[in-house]
Amino acid sequence: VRARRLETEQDFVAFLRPHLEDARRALAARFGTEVGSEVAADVQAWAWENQQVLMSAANPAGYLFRVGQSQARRYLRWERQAPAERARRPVEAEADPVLHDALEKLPAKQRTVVVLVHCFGLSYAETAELVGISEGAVRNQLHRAMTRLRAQLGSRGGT
Amino acid sequence: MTETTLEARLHRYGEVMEVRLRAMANDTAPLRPRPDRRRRTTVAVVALACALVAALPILARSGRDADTEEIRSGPGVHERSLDAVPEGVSLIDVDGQPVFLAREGSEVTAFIADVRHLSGEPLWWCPSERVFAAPTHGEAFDREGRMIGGPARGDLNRFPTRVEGSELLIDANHVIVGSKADHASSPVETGGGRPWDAGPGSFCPGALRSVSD
Repeated sequence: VRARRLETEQDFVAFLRPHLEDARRALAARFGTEVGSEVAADVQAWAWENQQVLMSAANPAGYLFRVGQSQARRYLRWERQAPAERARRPVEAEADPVLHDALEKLPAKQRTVVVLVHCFGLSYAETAELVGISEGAVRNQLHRAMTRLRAQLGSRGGT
Repeated sequence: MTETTLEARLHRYGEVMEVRLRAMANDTAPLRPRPDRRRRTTVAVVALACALVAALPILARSGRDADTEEIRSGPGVHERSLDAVPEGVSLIDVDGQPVFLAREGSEVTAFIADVRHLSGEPLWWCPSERVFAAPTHGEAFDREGRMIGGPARGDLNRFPTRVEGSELLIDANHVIVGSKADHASSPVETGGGRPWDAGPGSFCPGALRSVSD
């Protein structure tokens, strides 16, 4: 029984890994690497407690992202009570502070899409499935986001 | 510096994010190959090189196994008399960070009181159960810092230590990252839902707490 249980656990690890990776990227795109990572750890714990729900979901990565979004809202409320946590600058901000600040100023949906497509290299279809919007909406949000970023960063937005 | 497009700049930013996400998940598996979108190979190679250069200090700090390195006095290295460190587990403050010292004769381990789940969660040493445990989500670690329960990402992180005569040196410049857990497991069993540290008969009575109430 123990061996069968272990086998099932290994199957679930293999099933969960790619979906959790995508959800972690989407959460980092939406909330930044610090909060995104913390929330992804919670999402992982949730996944282990809700294996059947997740395995029967049509879009497991998207499901995990939505679970993470509601966890993150609670986490951000908690963080507001501990402002020292908020003061920490994530490493990506150190790597390119100007771009980081420009991304921070984008509406959440535009930032999520632009980070998933251009930073993490997801396709429009993958992004649409993960975030739960249509492919047309991804193109639309991306176009708006890139236009705003170019306007904020000047010239072509490069260095 | 070579002129780059906004897309290449975003890609470089993404590489740093990816490295950070991996480090925080304590994941050593190779990165899953990502499609190279609308970029010439040369641009991608330059971007990757820049990202690696940017991420080197982070990797050096978090991933380095400083266990084998010699600890020398200097900034960030804390010295204290070994006589002041009691046998068993005690709690000290290192640069404002609570640290549990576990002493067994001349062997001292410095566990960072971070449960490796959500930031700011308190960690307790339970002297009667001989475990480190967190009352918030039931993360638990044994006396050697190995994760034994709860949603922590892995074993407890440590600062390298060295005993030199009657002095204990703690190197707060480096962190030895605990091994990654295979998966999240059940929170620590407190036995019939006993309350935490509520006197005799409770779970973890007389806890040594990293954060006082």
